[in-house]
Amino acid sequence: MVLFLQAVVSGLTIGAIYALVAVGYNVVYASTQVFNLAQGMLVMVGVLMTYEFREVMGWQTVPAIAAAVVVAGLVNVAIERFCVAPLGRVRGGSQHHIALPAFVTTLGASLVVLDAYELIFGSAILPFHPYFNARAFNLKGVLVSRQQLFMVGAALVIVLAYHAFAKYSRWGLGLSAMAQNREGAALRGVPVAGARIVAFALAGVISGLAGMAIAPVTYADTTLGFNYALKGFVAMAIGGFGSTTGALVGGAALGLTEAMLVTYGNDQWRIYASLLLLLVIFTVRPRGLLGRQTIRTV
Amino acid sequence: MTAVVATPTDQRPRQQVAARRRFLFHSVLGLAATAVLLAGPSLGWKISTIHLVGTAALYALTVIGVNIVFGFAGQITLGPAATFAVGAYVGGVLSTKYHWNPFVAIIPAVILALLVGLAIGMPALRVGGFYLAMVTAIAALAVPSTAAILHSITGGGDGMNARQFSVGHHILTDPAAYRIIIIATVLSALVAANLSRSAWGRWFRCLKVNESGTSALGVSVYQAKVISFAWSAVFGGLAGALFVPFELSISPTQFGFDLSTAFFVALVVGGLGSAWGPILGVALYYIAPSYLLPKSLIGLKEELIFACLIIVIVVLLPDGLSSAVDRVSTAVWRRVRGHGATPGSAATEDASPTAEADLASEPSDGRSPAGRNAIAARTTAELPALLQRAANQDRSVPALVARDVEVRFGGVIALDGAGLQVVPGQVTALIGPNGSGKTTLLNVCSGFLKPDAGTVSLGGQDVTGWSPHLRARAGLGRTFQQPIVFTDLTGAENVMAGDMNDRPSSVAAALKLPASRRHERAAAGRAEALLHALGAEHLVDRGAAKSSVADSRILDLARALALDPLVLVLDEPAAGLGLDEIGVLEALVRATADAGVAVLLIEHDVAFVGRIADRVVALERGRVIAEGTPAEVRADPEVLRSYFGDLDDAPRNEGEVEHA
Repeated sequence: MVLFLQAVVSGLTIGAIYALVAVGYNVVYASTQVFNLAQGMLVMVGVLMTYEFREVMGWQTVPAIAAAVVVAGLVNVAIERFCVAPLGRVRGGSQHHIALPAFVTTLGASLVVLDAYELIFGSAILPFHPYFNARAFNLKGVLVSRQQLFMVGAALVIVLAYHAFAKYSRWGLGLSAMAQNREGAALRGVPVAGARIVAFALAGVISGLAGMAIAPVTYADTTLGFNYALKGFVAMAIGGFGSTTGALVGGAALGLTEAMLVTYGNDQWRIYASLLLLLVIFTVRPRGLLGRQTIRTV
Repeated sequence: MTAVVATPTDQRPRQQVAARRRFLFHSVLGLAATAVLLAGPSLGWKISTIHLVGTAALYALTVIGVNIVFGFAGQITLGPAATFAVGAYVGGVLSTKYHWNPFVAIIPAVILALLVGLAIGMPALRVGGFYLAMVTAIAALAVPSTAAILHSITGGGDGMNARQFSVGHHILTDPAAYRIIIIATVLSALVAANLSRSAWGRWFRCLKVNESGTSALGVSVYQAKVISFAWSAVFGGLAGALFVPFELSISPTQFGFDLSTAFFVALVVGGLGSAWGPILGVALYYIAPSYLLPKSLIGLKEELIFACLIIVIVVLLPDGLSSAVDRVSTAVWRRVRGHGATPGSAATEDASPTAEADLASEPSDGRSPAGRNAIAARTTAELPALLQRAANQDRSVPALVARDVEVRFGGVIALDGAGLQVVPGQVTALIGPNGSGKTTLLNVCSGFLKPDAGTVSLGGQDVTGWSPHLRARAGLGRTFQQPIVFTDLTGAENVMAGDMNDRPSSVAAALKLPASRRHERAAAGRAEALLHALGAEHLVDRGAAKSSVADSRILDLARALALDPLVLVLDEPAAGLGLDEIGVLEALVRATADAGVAVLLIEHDVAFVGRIADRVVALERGRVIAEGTPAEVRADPEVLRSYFGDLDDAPRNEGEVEHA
């Protein structure tokens, strides 16, 4: 039982990060119909920039995190400017038609980010000093570290903050309007191009925050970007496209399944969690647990 | 079918010469490349060069497969290395651990790669969108993990040494193994090229442009996607099975996710959907850097360059480098020769001005009344022979019947017990104000919308539960408000895509078996004959991307007629046409009905409806309010009211209350 509950704790912790990546996908997809594959790489940017500012340059933790998150947001804005915006201009096409090329260019952007970072900073896995002391809370034998509480708490706070932004702020409402009807939103005075930049910046910030939250666990490891990109997608597919709550549910489901496989099997079984959950969800409920529609149906 | 034989091929010699020269050009290029590659080891290549080129050839073989599903059919796969790794492990384990001959082990390797591909691809393709991309990416991570887990068989993370190619007890040398690989790759490239030029190639390209349009052709969208993916799995498995006895070792790290992204990058850079794209891409990615780039750029910087190239190419050259090379060589050729007939890509190549001038002698534009009459006469004369199925149907029985159809969108009732009958030989027009449910009824008839209640029957068969492609095959052709034109294809190919007669299997198409050749010949003949009959022979060889609205509508119509339909459904065929073009269209629709097709059309142009329709059905708010000859319906007070409102105020309010 203790083993099981310990697995639940670690599953929810990693699931929180997957959920954040899924929310990042949703933020961009909902308002632009673009599936920004670089979302996972931005988590890595969050990790690595926090590392650079905090560990290498010796900044205080909070400013280091803030700077890293800003960098992640800016990188995503650059991705929007160089990889997504030109597609619409060149083709003069509708949203629908840029979806496929944008998928390819954002994959290209992921590779650019990865290669550029490794070129500048190297690709060694570098240790990262914990934010909190290592003493864990002991709940009847189940150990919960401060770091784990922080990750789950951070994910919940970020998701709630995004939710409030989308529901109550002008920009958030504009993005929601774009999600429902782009032309309609444009006609009502939503600056569509500007809003798209905001969506990308926001998604970048969310991924950056996810990165800083997970940094002490994974260390500064460049290979994890694609991993997060895929796991975030699985979380989104399970939870349902366009649903923030779905992203949380999907992230938790994936995290828990992985933790169970790793606890009762071994670490190499981890990838089967994604494969299994995806195939089950395709067969049983293609639009996801809480989704209203599948992505890009005709 | 004599009209098929009588196509005026002599009227467009220049395009045919261009096509033939293009074919010759590609054949010579392919033969030369093959000869150089095969001769390589005898020309004193180092062993390292042989290994570099041989490995690159196997990567190219995989990428050629990916090109089928991603480049042709437009379904993104992010994990092309998955089936490659399956093929490699099955082949490697069988030959090394169980002492199979590596050549024999290829067969189970390919079969298992195919099965794994189907197991992950089929559920994902059922959902569509980007799911295939993600599930294949995850599979690409799962295969090496599985190999690591099964360490007693695969050697686990350490991998194992593999057995070389051998015949009996004679072990093949490196150059011999290399030559086998080159031959396998060339043969596979030919298979892919066959597939690309076959009916399946056309349908894959249609799928990429417009999925619902593809199902209206009579093609099962899901089946076509699965088949394209299955081919890529077969190619991947084959390449993997050849890889191990050549590389002589096998371990999970060889098949990491970076291999998948490398395949992806090579394909996008080389050119999605082009025959040479995969080869060019792999050559650039794997071979060129070690010879062309300075040592200081090898490694990460080189990867960074290629990653940037992906973005630049998708933004600036969506068709990849091979099409850019094609365009440049075409331009150079034109310079040299001084005129237009050149090798180049069919779909982007326009008919040269001189060729157009040749065609102008035919009355193909219909702008003058005389030209229009000539087209009408030609259509009336030639069309019946091309519409055998329609000619044989019983003109006294309605070919399409919709009864008591109800459709609700949430709380909105779009159709409320509407119905209609379409009789062969007649043109039935469906009219009604905006929002009256015309398009909804059309979509129910052609299967794009499932009604909440009511039935649809086609040629006497209840087809209510049938999907669009099954209805199309059963004889329901349709055109769309936005004409469905597959821009990657020429005019004739657009029409051929709609030909469902004796559909060949994809295996027959890939191997150019007689079944596929027969279909190609028949479909090409019918397409040319149809376009000629519709007065649009100038569209035969022209890339469809540049079609005008009128040309697009003719192509859409010809494509629907290629089905040899019992029923033809036209959604606002006159929209966007000029008056003289409408005149031509009228003649074409009339001739189609006279040939025995039951024609149903939606149209806003009341004058057009008055001239062309034999029967008119008027819809308002999802109900049929009048039915009869155009004159009868036009005089119907309900119809007048629904279009113009009442002439004094009070009853109008009453009328609105009535329907609220």
